[in-house]
Amino acid sequence: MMTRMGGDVIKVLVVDDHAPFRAAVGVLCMADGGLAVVAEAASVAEALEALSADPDLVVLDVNLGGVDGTEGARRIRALRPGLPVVLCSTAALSELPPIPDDPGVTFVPKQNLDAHVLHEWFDRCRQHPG
Amino acid sequence: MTCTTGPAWPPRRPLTASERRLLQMIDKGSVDDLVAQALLLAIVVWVGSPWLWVGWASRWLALAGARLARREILADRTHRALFLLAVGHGLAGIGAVVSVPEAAPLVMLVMFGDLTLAGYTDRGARRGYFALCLANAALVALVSLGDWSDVADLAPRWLYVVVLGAHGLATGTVAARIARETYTVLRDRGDRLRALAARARDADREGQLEVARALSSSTARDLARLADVVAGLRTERDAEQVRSGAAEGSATAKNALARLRALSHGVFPDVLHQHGLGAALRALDHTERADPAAPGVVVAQDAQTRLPPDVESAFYALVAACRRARPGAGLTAAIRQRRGYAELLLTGDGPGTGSDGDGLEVDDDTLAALTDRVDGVRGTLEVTRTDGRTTVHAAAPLDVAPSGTDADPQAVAILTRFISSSTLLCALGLVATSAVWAVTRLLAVGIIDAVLVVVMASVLGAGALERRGRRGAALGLLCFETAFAGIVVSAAIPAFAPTAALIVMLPLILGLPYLSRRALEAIGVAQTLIVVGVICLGVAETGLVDAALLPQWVYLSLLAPTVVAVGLLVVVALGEGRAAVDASNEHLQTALLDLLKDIDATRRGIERDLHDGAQQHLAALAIQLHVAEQLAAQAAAAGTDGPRRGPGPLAQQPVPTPATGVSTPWQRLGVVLDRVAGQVEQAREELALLVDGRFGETLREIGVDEALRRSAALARRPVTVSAQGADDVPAAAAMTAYFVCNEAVQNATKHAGPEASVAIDLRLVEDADGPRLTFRVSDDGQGCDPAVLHAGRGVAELVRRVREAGGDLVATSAPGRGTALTGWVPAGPQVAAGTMVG
Repeated sequence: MMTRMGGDVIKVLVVDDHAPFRAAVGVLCMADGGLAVVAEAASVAEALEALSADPDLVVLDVNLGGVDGTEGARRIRALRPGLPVVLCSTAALSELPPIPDDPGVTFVPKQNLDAHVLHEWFDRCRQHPG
Repeated sequence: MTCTTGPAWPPRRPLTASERRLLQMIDKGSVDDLVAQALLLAIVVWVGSPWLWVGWASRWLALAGARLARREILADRTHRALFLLAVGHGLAGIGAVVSVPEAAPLVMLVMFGDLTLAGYTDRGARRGYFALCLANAALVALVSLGDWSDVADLAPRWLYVVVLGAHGLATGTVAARIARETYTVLRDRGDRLRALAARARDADREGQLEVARALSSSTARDLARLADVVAGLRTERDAEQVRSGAAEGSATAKNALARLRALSHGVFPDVLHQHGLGAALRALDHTERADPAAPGVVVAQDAQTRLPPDVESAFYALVAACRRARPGAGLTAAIRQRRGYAELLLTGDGPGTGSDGDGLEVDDDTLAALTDRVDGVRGTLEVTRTDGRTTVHAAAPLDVAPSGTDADPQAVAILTRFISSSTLLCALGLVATSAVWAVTRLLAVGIIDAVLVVVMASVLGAGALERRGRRGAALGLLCFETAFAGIVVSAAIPAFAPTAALIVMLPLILGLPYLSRRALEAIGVAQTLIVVGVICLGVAETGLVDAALLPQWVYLSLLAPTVVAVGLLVVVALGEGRAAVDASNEHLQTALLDLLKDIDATRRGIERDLHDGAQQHLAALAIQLHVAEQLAAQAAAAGTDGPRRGPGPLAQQPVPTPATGVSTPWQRLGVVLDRVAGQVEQAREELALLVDGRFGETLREIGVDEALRRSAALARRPVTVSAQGADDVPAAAAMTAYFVCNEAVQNATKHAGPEASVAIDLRLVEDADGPRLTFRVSDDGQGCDPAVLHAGRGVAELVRRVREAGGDLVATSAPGRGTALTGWVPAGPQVAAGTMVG
């Protein structure tokens, strides 16, 4: 279990149109204890609504139906400039549209996602905002 | 963008097969003409008439026209080339007839050849070209009537007969050859389209089977292994063992995902659909390159705009195949759009791994397959080598859909229309000649009248035969009719020999859309011999009727309208024959494009299914097994070994979160492993359904009857599909019926004989046992002994397949009575697909 220095649990918003992945992130957060899924969304539109749950971190799939994740990351960052976003996909970077050149957005292959990666990205964004 | 060096961009359009044939014909014709000019010169010198010098000199105009036409073809202006040919022939023809009126039938044959060349023009240019050729023919016929020269008396008559007869034979052979070449040009495209479709379908069927096999052998096996690993973990009590087992499971899931991604990418690169050709080619670079340090695919695209999906798909296949052929070498791909064409220029980046190459060598089989692929979108593919550098240039029209209408090829019945217009002409001719005969009481006109009666009877007979579907017999009767009319009319009135020559060649044009190449050749030889007879009769002037008996106005009033009418008949017959084959080709092209679209759509659907299904499961499994690994590590570190499953199934307990209370790593591990086990099972089930159901589902979407109609449009025999309620049946039933009907049509194509047509009848019937899809595939071909039918493996295999689906199939046949396959499959909603996977 990762225990945060501040003791606060990081509230995670998971955005993916595939339920197995959302569930897997749920398991990941449950097992970690320092992370908690506060909202789930299946599209960028739903994700923007779910921002009302005030997440600390967004895990965002790239290949979403309709507006794709890279555009979704831009919109989320425009609304909440301080909110770290982790884009992920089963596809390789070369097959995806360009990831936004934004210090708050990173890309992780889906299968490599774990609690450590999320904590690290959250901490990094906290220490170097903007 | 970076621009490629090398050959001129864009490279010159390569000559089409028909243009190459036209060039060959012009070259050979020029040689023949030069030899003839030399021989004629000897005669001219011997006879010494100034009229003959006119004729000899005018022939050089034809030669000059041919040379100019040759240049125009090479400069990509084939239409102008044809006009130049026609103008040259027209002027030379008039010169020839002015000097020796006896040569008129011969010149008329040349005019016939010009008309037949219309096979090379497109619809827009055809009308003007026809008008020019027709005017040439009419002028030649009229000029032949004039009393231009008395050369005839200067040389012995036998000399004329020999020279003109020999020349007639040569010219007749050329005319027949032109007709045959035209036929080949038209038919080749159709045959090629059919072959393309067949190969595309075979390749797709193979590809789908390969994907199904790969899924069964790799992904399904990976999932089975994961299931074993997870089952083992759930009974394991040692935390360290759980940790290493979970780590192994996570790695297995990641590897399986990597393999599956490569497989899906091969099925259809999603990036191609999402982001276009340029992006897909760049991605191809990463997915296909084993060694990251090796040179990759450099993509230069002058615009980010998307190409039509079919073209993108074809171009992508082209680059992917070149890349697979030489994975180690670098490629530069330039994509451009210009003048309504999308172009791809592919060059190798310097020396490849081998001593001989620049990384762009593809073997002949691959090249043939790629040419097919590009041809399927109406494109061209050219591979050139200059200075050891290979360039692959592909171009395809941006507007991929054929411009033609959906005209049913059967709607243009050239033979029927020819017969009806001939009947009308005969009737008019009969009235006219009868009137002239009533006034003049001339024997010659009486003979024409009698001939017209015989011709009319033959034409009506041919019409009756055609209506009964006996096309060969109808054409045979028309051959007889034209030969008879030609011979008798020329014998009676030599002045009609030019028109007779034109008439005699008509069956060649008529047979174009219907006859086989061999039959067309036979008619060509027979009609050429008859034309020679007609010419000799015309030259011999041993007419049954003394020409002096007839006043000039009779000739003029009969000959001029006859030439124009016969010429029009040639034009109409040729136009419709060409239109029939064009329509049939456009029909085929549309069907082929639909097929290629379907194939791409199916493959993309499979790719989506794999992406949305198994790939997501595997990624989720990798994450969760990694979580399990970490939890087990924590449990081991905390030394909390013990019974890791509490009382009652943990899977049903609420997920512990900080809100619901803290649980031990062991408890959490239990929850995670239960979820993982459930997900592995779900992934296995989904994969099995996908492999079994994917093709059936695609089939159900378009409807089994519609799918059969699409394949019928590409069959080599006429196939009619009638269906009732068959568009909404379960996937499994649709798949079985589709497979069996298609195989039955294939069998009929192979065994029923060339005249056979096939009928498919599908019906959804409801009876006590529930709904059933019945199907019947019957042909009217030659049939066979039932024992032979059942001895083969083909029918037995179909019966086995239908019985496996819970239905039955009966095959019946008898010599001369065709073959029929009648069967049914259950079509109730309870019919579930079997499982192939796991």
